[in-house]
Amino acid sequence: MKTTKLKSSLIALAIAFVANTNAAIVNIGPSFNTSTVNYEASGSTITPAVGASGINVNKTLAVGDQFSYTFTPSDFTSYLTSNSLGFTTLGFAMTGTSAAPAAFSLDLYGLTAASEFAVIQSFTGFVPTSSTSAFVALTAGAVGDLTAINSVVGFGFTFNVGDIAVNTTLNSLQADVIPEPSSASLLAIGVAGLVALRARRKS
Amino acid sequence: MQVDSMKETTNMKKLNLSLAILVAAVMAGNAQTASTEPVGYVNVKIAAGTGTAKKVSYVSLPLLDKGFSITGKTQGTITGVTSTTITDSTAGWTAGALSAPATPFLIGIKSGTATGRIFHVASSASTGGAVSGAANTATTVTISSLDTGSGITDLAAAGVAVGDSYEIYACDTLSSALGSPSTTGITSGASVAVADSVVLVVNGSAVTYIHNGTRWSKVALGTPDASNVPLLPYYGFAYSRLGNTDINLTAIGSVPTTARKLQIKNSGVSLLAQFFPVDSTLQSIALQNTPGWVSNATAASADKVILVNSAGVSSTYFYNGTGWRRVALGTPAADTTAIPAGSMIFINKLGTASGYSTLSQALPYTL
Repeated sequence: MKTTKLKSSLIALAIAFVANTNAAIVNIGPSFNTSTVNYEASGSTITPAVGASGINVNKTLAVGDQFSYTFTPSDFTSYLTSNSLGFTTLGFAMTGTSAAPAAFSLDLYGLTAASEFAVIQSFTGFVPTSSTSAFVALTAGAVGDLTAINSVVGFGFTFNVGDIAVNTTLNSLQADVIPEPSSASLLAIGVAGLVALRARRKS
Repeated sequence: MQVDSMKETTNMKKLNLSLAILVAAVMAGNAQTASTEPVGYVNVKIAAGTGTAKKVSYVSLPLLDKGFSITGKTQGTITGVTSTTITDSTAGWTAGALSAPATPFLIGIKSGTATGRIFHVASSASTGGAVSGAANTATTVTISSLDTGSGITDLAAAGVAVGDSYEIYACDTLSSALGSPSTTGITSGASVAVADSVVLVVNGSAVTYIHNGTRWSKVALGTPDASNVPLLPYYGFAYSRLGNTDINLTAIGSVPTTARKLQIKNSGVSLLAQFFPVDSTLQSIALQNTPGWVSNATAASADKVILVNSAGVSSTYFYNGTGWRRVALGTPAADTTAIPAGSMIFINKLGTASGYSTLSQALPYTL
């Protein structure tokens, strides 16, 4: 009985090891700070504070409060889920506190071949209630001009609620990617398989 | 009934900003009666800002605009329905005529289960912020994502059926309704900080618009043209006035003759038009009967309604299970709180639930 438990634990450990070999959440585009993002007044109704750790909004919201930032063009092609669904794994690394779930929407912009801004895709989400930066998944919405995904150049962030006090900081855009197994994790899978096989033979 | 001169041109679908000669019932109270389908007008006031600080008005454009001329039927009987299209085999419309981006149209259902539903007809292109889809044919209109995005994924499931009667209405746009600095006195500018601004909430997402001196623009990267963004009569908008004079609009059109049905988001913000050209009350609008409405003895745990009165004062209300209450010391009763014609009802529903529920609102007068 003890042997079986030990082997089960070994298998579980090996699987956990595999799962943690590569982080599933990765930063895409730049981490937001004063030198990486540019405030766009023409696309904003409020002016957040930008510091070393990100873009901070600390106010009682009015519905429609929004801000836009641009950054050096980034290629998001590898994060595309499909042409019909667009991006389904994107999110923000962000912190936040609010008295109630504060809904927001996000438009991801790219530069077209004609060097014009185009909405690549729209998303929705909720401000988190944690002061520790964490991945906040975005719900994928309408797909726009996917031809611009190799030149993602900024975003527009809009609060869809009013009269809620929030203090939130956007640290970076992120994607929840499926990890590729490394050599170590493949070895762990092999070990787990051997242990399982041996256990099966003994029983 | 329409003023004769208004029949001459499709442009007259636009909100007429000069006081017109109107007959009929300018409805001033509930439960009025009239012998024919009346037209009327509703004055919509946008309160002045200070010139340096903005004041927010919650407004809507009530009444249904039939003051246009098209080839083919403006009302008839539905002979076919798909998930997103409505067909009248004898409509005789000119292909694309109901789908021009600058002059959008609506189709209202006037009988059957879906009575009171009004759908936006898709435009043929997204020019100027128009909401595009398949253009109308001689017999068929396609509803746009403004409706399919609000939970109406299947017209048949929403109750639209063969044999129902329908009617076509003109739909205002930002430019036709709110004009320009020279026509209505709005304040234009290069950014939202120096211009009047308008917030629409479409299917839960807020979008801000300004007039940049040349045209209406979306506040977004690239400031795209928003001249043709539809202003739906069943939703309202928040107008933040920077200029130091009031703006007085006069909405002209036909008085609704049926109950209304429309979609409300299950969480977050919906901006409802008051819609009917009579003053209403919180009790008579009966939002508390909407499926999923959260009532509670304390405001913090209840869905809320925000109203802005003509003096620009904002008040918040909630339903405690037996009546409407104002969020204030003593939570005073608010069942009879007036909601003026031409105003907007700001709904803020708790939680993070997805989807939409249908608000059914009875006709508040007898025709």
